[in-house]
Amino acid sequence: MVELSFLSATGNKLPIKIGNVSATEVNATLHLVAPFHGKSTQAATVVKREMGLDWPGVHELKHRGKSYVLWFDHSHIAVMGEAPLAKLARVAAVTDVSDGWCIVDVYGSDVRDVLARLTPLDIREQHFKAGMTQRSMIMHMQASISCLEKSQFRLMVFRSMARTLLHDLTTAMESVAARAQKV
Amino acid sequence: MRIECPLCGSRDRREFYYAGHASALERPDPAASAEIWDNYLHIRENLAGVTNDLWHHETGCGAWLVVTRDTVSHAVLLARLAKRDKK
Ligand SMILES: [Zn+2]
Repeated sequence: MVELSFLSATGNKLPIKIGNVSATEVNATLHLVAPFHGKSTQAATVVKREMGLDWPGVHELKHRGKSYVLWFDHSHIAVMGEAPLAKLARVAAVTDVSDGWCIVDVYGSDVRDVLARLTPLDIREQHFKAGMTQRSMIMHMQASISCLEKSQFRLMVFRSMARTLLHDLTTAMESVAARAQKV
Repeated sequence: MRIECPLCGSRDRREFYYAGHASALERPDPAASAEIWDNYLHIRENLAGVTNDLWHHETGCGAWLVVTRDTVSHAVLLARLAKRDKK
């Protein structure tokens, strides 16, 4: 198959840093996986054997090196990075959506204050811990929001909305930074 | 208003899309009479009290939910996955 080269969804507008929060674009392949009827166990076995990871339950995100598996919706998980796609495709519907999503990592000590301005999720540390992933909104956009570390989140929106994400994210980062200066 | 999604937990109403009464899940037999189909498609009770609605967790997990709520008090009493109810 032809190897396609990565083209930035944000038009190379990242990385940026405002106040103590940084945003950087992630270049990763993304596949959605929906096990065929009655094949959940087999799909989980492939993920366990080939990736060394347990099948992610609701709100779970697991990774080994740069390979991630994460709960994605009521019937899908997503795999990010290297994954045993051919083996998974025998027991599940596997869809390459790498060019359909824009992936941005945001991190820094005020990152939760920034997210609080963007999503109705409860993003307090005790409710949104590292290793958790949730589907919700970023402003009006359907998003996938994952907590990779205490002060690092991975945001995903449809690629067609990358510039809107950038706008909303920058606005929130500027507001948080401006408040920090005033106090 | 918040809805307790069985998968996602307690979520803001903005994440959901309302899609009418849950009687849509009780689809008649294709050979049923015109009256039964007319009733299924068009006739709705407009009651004051406990009702079951279909809601789509649109910006959440994407699941269809049957939400039991009280049209008088606006209380949301229960939400469960619609696919469990589907015949
Ligand atoms: Zn949900």
